[in-house]
Amino acid sequence: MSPIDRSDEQLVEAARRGDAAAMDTLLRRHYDRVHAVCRRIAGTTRDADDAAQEAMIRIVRNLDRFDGRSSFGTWAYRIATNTSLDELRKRKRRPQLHVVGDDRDDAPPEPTDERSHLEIDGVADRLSIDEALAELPDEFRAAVVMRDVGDLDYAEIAVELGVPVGTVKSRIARGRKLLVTHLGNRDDPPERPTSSPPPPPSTP
Amino acid sequence: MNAEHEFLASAYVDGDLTDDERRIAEADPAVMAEVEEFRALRGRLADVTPPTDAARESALAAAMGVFHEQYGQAAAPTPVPTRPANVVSFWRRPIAMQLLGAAAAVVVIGLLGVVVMSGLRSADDDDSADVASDAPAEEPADEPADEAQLTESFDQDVAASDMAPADELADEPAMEAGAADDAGAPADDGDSASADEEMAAEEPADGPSADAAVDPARFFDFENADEPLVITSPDELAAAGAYLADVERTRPELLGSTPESACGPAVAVATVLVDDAPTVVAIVLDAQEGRVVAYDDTCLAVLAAPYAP
Repeated sequence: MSPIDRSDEQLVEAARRGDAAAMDTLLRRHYDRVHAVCRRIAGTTRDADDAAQEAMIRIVRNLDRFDGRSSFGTWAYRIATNTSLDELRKRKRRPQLHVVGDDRDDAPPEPTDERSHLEIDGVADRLSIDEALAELPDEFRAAVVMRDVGDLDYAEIAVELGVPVGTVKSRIARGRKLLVTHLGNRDDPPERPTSSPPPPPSTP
Repeated sequence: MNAEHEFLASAYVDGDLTDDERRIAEADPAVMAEVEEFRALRGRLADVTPPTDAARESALAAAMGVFHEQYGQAAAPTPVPTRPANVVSFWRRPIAMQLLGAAAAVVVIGLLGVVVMSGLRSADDDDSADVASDAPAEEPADEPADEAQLTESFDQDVAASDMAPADELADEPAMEAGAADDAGAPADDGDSASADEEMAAEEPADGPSADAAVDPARFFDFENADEPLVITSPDELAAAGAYLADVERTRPELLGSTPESACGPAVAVATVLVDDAPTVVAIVLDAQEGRVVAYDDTCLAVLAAPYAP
């Protein structure tokens, strides 16, 4: 059976025995989601790249400590969350070197046809989500991202953030509400970086 | 909308309500409107700019570098090109090995003589034992075709007997390589066991391939007048790391001031091939982890490898 056909658990076992192909497959399988978690918490693609790389390294280093109580994916996304939070802390400590053009998302494509209008809307949507997330306090952002992007359950998030489950629930609820409010304010037509008609509201 | 509605709607989206709570939530249009907003938000949060292939491959390469450190070189996913056997010059071998080599050469020459003589006897169909015993020195010159045939069959025999040791060389590069070379020397030169010829026969194996492994000094401009070479593989980066560690320890003045880098205390600047494009990188030695890492100008680790500090 090729590595790609094996389950996460089988790949973990093989990787622990030194099977590099299994490790590579496992990391590839989860990289994009890990990157997404990092992207949402760290805020920029550049920081997400760094955090995702560090998360991949931590996953390898700590593979022997993975006890199988949660799924490998959940465990990996927890590591991604922690790494992203570390990245945020580091960023707060260091001076901002990349003020302009810090993110690839800063340069939307030229509006040349109908499809590019859609692309721009997608980019604008991501930008407004990023901006809304950036305005959330870190603890709210981490809780919402762990739940809605990393798909971790309340208990796992509680362990990760070191707070009671009840606190996790209220942070998620409060964080979601704040995001919806921010996005509602940002979805006004004048703020969209395109001259195309504003899309229908994405929320009912 | 109050906090209780928010909490209820959020828990509803996460499937965290009891049956009674769910009924209460579904009976309240304000809560359900909030539920729809939260669901839509989830979709938007999951719509993330996908990572680039370069970022993905770079991250995976760095992680797999750590994996190989932890689990040893045997676990490497990509086969490392087998280096040619480490052939040691006859004069650089231990005395015992020299004597063994010389003895082996004498035995081979003796055997060859016997084979040639018996061959001549049958070829000439000569009944005279005196002629046969006197002839060997001159006969080969008189009968070049016969000698060529005999030498060829001898070479074939030796080549056949050499197959196993030659295969073992890749796995057993040290003493086994020397021993195999001893046995194999006559095969290279036929009937000659001369040390000079043996050394000459070694040159092709030792010379260019050793250069192919690339002197790590050539990746930098400290001791290298030519344009520095591009680092193309983890093996080369590992060699570069070991070289830099040695220079740092023994001739730190060569390194000069630490290059500007936000990624750590860089030892030197080099060029690494990333996605087939030469990329200027800062080389950082992590002596604690025994790892050499090449960072690009965005502090992204583009290549990492273990090295011996």
